[in-house]
Amino acid sequence: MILVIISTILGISTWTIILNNQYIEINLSLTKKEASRLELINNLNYASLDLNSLDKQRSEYIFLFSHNEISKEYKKIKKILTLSKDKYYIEKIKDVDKIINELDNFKSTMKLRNDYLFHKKTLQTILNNNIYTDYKSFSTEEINIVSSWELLKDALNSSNLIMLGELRRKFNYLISGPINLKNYSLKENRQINNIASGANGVFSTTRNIIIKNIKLEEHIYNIQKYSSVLIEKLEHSLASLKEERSEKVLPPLLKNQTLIAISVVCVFLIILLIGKLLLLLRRFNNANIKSIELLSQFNKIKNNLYENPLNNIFSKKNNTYNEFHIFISEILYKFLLRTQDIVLILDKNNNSVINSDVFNIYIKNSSSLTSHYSINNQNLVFTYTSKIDEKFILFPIDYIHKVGNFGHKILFLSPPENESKNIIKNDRLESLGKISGEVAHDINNMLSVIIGSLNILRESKYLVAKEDSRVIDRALFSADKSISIIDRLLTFACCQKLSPELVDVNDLIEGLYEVICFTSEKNTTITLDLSPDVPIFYIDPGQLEACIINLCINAMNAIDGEGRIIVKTSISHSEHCEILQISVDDDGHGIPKNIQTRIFEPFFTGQKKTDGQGLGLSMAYGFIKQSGGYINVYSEVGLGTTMSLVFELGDNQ
Amino acid sequence: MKPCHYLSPLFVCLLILPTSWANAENHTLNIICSAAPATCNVLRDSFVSIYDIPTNIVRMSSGEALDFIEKNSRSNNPTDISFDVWWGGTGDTHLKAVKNGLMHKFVSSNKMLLGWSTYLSDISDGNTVGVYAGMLGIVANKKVLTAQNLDLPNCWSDLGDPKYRGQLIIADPNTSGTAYTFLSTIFQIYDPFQRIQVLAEIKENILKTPKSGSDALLPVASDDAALSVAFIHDVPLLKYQNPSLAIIIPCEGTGYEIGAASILKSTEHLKEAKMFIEYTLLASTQNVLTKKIALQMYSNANTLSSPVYNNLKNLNVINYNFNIYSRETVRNDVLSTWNNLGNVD
Repeated sequence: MILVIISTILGISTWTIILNNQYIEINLSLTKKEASRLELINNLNYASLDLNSLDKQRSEYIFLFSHNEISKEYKKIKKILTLSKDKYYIEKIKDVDKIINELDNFKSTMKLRNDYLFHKKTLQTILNNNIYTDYKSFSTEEINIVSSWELLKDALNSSNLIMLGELRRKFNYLISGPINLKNYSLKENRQINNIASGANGVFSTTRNIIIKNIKLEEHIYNIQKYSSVLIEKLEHSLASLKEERSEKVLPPLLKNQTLIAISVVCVFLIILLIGKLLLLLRRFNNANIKSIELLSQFNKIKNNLYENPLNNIFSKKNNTYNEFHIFISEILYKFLLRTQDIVLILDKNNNSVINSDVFNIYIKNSSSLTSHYSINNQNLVFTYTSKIDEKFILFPIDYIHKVGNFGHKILFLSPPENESKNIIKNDRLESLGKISGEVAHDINNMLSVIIGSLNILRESKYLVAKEDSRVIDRALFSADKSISIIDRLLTFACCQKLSPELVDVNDLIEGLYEVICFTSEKNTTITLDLSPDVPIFYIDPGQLEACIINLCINAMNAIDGEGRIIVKTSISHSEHCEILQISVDDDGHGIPKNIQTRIFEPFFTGQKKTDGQGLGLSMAYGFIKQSGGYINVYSEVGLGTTMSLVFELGDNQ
Repeated sequence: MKPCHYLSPLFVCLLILPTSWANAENHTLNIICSAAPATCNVLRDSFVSIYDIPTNIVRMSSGEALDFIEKNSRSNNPTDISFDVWWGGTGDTHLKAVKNGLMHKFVSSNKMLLGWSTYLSDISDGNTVGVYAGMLGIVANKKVLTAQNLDLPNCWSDLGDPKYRGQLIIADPNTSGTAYTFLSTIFQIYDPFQRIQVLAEIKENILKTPKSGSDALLPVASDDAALSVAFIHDVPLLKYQNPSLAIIIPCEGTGYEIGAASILKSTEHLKEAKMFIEYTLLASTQNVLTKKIALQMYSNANTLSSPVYNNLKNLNVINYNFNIYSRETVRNDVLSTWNNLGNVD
């Protein structure tokens, strides 16, 4: 039997080698010089392809990230060329320098473009505050004023020079044509002209943005061109190297001998592998388990699993592995690698043999000295002792698969039913958000006008007395403060315009560390526990910073005397996706249960003496909700609070 | 924009013979005009009447003008006339002459120029300025299409639909500025893989390839073909004669040309040359052109809207990169891509 298997494998491997003859020949025939040239070509192709990620429409953060990656690639190529003693390579350094130089130019243009974009936002705010909606009550001249404001808004959003030009023509016609706005209102006319014209006006700013976009495209074109020229040169040199050597290739007989030698080695290795496998199966025979029966069992498992294609990775927690456990975990690890489910393997005494990582997520807050599993009415009951009393989590069982003769079983579970209760979904908050959003929006508009008018007044040449300036400054200060309250209310109501970017959350938190330490008391220890697996995440970095700081400030306020705050990031796997958690954990006084449902309400504060307005958590709630996540609160009086920002990561993140 | 390889100094002398009386004057301003003849004549007449500077205009296409200026600069025996201004013609040909160092620095003092006009000035380091602009479009003959039970195309890619086989007339991009603008527009809209596919399909549908853009338009205007590509300001006059013509702004967005004006390096009348270009940049001068003569968009913000381009919804243009597509190497790449797609019968 063994002989038959060996001869079959021998035959297959020989044929495989013969069929792949050409491939092997190509790879084996590359000299070191040729291989390095090929590697350079591949690197250049790779870097050149990456250029497409330097999309001009992306945010600065994404750009800088991509730019650094691409620069690294080209610098790596330059290093290979520089370190090489090959004259041919050294000549090519200039070509790579040209590319790196163009990349630097790209960065400068991008920076300029972003400055103009920033100015565009300011202009947009001014224009938004001057757009009227009630046309019916306007006279013809007033409608023309409204039209010119709207025309400026269109101009600010123009995407090409021709459109911008024609809007400029229409604007000029409107302000100096037959219906002359000059005759209507000097003040309004001056205001319109100020915003439209000049180096910082709407037309100039938009023109500069469009031109910088064209310039950015040009840089990409140049880099790709220089890159492809260099690739062409390297390919040409590679071809000539191969041509030179083709005269010195081994005779066909020798080539066949090499092939035969490789075949023999391969066959030898395969035999060794099979031997090891048979040895393993024999061990199980010794343990009174028929190998064929066992394999068929696993095939059944495999088939069942493929019917439920899910994704999971096993962790080995139990230290007392016997051969069976090792075997089962290894085989299952391979089979279940592409599955996604809450899986648990129990032995005959209902002790956990293997926990899936997804299962661990559900029981992560339940860590205690004692815990046990029991099966009751198609449910798995996980019982554990908390800090105060005994608790349990109920997992509905989807399917149980019994394995072997040891009484082991694999349990496929559904998420616990009470899990959803942790997610804060409060109708009261929804209504509050709606009302706050509407009120805040209106107040925001009025405040913008107040601030604008105060600014104009402040710069007025008729304002002489210092005392007058101080009065205006005081008014401006209060107005600014009101704007910040309104901003937070708008965030709570999910009405804030977010500017999401790709953010390295760990970097962001590390950047905040000093700020958090600065705001905390001396006897509070701040610790960061950041998981290296946290991916780059698409979120508004400014708002996320504000949100984490707010959570930390709340944690600090909850600590009397000495205490500790842990800011933690972690990544875990759920049924369908990965879950990113950013949590702030404190050992403060905790939140009483009766007020836990109200902590996100605007202006609600549990502190007796505080400077806060009770908007920090509301803002965090609104922002996280708007960003597609939710906040998990776990708090026990006297023990502390853990606030977790939870995000389910989809494909796009 | 067609390059004229047979153009010789002698030929140029013959061209300007009817106006050679002006050469007797020392201060005669010699202008190469690549715009429509009517535009060239109106500009010359009004300029002479206002400034009383003898002005001589020679009409050449953009390609001819570039070829002539380049050959003249290389020649040891340049023509006996020294040209001062090159007015009109596609911006890319002007930019090419600038890159070859054939133009004199000139930055207009006119503060009312539109963004696209000063953009051309910026990318040429102040060596040329945009005077007019025009968008490219698809011109369709509804009568011919209806007779064959065919719909109007909406996009550039529709021109490659097999149902339009043998219905399309596009000029040879090697000799026509319009056709080159069309090619480079497709290059800028589609990625390298898609552009080959789109162009190959379009080329399959071509009935014939005349040398110039205007020659490609005439068969469509005379009901002999269904589709062509043209600058849309050239169509209204033909549409007046044949109402079944329709202009389509392609759904993907379209390219455009900027007509430029430059002072030649060899000028002997710099002051007058500047005066002429400044004069053509005035709103009053351009209003005369846009009302009656040529329907492009003009560069002064105070000039009236062109009746062809006054609907903002139609201004679906791409950010055409003049700097890249005026490069000799890029032009050669674009043309060789087109030429290698297979021969048209």
